[in-house]
Amino acid sequence: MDFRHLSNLSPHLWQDHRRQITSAPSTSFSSLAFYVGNNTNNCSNKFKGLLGLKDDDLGSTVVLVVTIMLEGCSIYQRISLHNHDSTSDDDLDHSNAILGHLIAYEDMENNLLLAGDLIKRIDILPIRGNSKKNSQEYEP
Amino acid sequence: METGHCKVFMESEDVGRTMDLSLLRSYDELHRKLADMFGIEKSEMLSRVLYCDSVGAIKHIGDEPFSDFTRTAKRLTILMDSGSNNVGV
Repeated sequence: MDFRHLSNLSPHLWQDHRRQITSAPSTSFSSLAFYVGNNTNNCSNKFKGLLGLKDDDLGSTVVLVVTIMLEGCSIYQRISLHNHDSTSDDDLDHSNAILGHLIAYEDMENNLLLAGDLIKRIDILPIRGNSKKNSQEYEP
Repeated sequence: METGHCKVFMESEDVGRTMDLSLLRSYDELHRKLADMFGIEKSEMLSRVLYCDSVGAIKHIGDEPFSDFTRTAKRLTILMDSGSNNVGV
C-alpha cells in the first residue's frame, strides 16, 4: 500500500485535520489505523485515490481494508475496519476509523505520525522479544 | 529510524510528520520545507524550531553546520510561542 501522496495534503487541510484528531489507541506494538478527523471533499478525494475507489463507490457501502504487517510479513491478510472494535483479539481499536480521515501510525517510541511522508508500507514492529517467535505468535 | 530521517512535531500536537534531512542542503531549505509542511510563514519559522539530537540534547537549530545538524537531529519541535521557555520535547 502506497501512502506517499498523503503527505501532499495541503497545510490548511492538515491544520484542519490535526485540530480534530483524537488520541491513538494504546497497543503493545506500533500500529496503523485511521483516526478521526474532519471529512471534507478534498480528503475524500484523496482517500478515493488511495483506495482505488470510484465516485459511485462513495454512494454505496464501502468496505475499508488495511493490511497489517509484522516485520515485513502480513499478520492479517486484510482487516475490514468496520468489523473491528475494542473487543477484538488483536487489541486494535478501529471503531473510530471511517472514510475520509487521516491515516497515522505509532512508531516504536509511541509517536503518532502521519502515514505517507517517507514510507511506502507500514511495518508493525515488536518493541522487544524474539522476532521469529513474534512472527509465529501473530501468524494469521 | 534511518539516518537522516527526522520526526517533526508542532508543540502540543498529537500527530507529527517525518522528513528526510539528507535530501536537504541548507537551513534555508529546511525552513521552507517546514513552512510548507505546517502552513506557517517561513519568517515565523526561523525562531521557533528546536531539535533533539541522538543523545537527547535539546538545541536551537542553526547553531552548528547544517551537515552536522542533519547527522544528529532526530526530532524537531516547532514552538507556538517563540518567547516560550517550554522546550516542547
